[in-house]
Amino acid sequence: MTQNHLINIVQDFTDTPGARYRTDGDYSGQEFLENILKPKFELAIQEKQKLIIDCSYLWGLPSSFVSGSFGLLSIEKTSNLLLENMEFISVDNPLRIEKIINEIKKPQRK
Amino acid sequence: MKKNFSTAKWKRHLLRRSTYENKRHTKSWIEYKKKRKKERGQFANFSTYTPSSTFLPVKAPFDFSIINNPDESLRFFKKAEKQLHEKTKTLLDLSQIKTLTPDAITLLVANVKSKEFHNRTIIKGNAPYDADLRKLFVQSGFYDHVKSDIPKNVANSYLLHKKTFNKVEPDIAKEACLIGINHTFENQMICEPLYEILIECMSNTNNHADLNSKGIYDWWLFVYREPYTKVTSYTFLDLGVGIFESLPVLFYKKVLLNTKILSNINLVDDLTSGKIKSRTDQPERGRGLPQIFINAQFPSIKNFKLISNDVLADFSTNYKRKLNKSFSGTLYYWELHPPKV
Repeated sequence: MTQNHLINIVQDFTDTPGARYRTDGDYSGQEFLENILKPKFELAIQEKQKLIIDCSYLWGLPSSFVSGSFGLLSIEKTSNLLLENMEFISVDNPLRIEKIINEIKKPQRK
Repeated sequence: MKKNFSTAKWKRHLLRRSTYENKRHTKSWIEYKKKRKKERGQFANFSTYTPSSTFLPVKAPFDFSIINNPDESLRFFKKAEKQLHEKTKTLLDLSQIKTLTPDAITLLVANVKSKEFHNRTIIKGNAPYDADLRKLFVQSGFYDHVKSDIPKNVANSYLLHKKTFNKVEPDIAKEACLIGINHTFENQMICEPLYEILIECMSNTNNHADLNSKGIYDWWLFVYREPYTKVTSYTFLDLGVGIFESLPVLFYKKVLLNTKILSNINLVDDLTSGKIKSRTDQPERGRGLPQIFINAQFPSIKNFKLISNDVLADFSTNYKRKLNKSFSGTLYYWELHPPKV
């Protein structure tokens, strides 16, 4: 049985996501993307496993954070690759998953 | 000829010098110097003594509220600013006001602490005579930011915060949420729309100004727990250029010149829907206000108002109007209400 990779945002990063860029302040989408999301995603792809994102019990999911992390990753790697290799969990609010998936499907483009 | 340092005069001098040097290293002296250094930069004095006649008074309107009486309230600040820029010592007279809302207190403290407002001219002020308004004024934490003889730390119930580095502060947003949630809902459940509004407001402080001068404006946040109800009101403001004078919006307006749509009010819907985006290499911008607008529709969030430049927009009712007096900055106000039983 293959073991999937897991990111629990609250435990691995923060329960209070911030804004988009590191220069905006702490716990930014860029920080999450560069330090956690992208390395783990690339590792999961390499090992042909899924990456499970647990976004339960976050205080919120600002759109700037989502676009600065998942949005930028989707632009770089393509939305299909992300959606095929990522799964999402949100115990207390399933709408968070919808927000992330919408961003992955339609990240802001130039 | 060698100077004689053994004379009585020199001995007295050396003794005084030595006493002073010893005193400089005591804890009380160090604390005193820190306090003096902090006060030196403060041009606003809201002590309770009667100021001299050399201060020209500017009377606050009876209804001192930016959200309910924006024209008169903003006129009050404009008049004071004009006087201060003419180097006239000014007394901000709040004694006769009959109504006071938290947003007015927030704008007052933001202005008196702003160099662009006081222009390094001395300001004095007073508190409302009305007992209830005086209590609100004192407990808001206003006196923590000005020189006064009112004891500091009287306000232990409300949060009044200033951030000078323009960063988004998620921990402060969480703290502000908890204050409101505890008061309004009497629990500690997460309220995502409230948190997201705060983060986007902070984030937009960076983003509304000229992109080349990102991060030169700071923001103020006031969380007020109304004592007789379960309502918590939030005021967030920055004294930047205002939404409608930020570069992305100015660029958008130029495009619209051909269609003769020049009023800022006509741009509100485009802003809240995300149509107005950055023109630069940061295409992912432009999401903040739409996110704020969506979250303002949350059932427990009421009376959401945005005041920026010459626009007052009510996100709760979709009402918009042009202000007679322009406000250089951006002010958000909203209330957290308990669910209806």
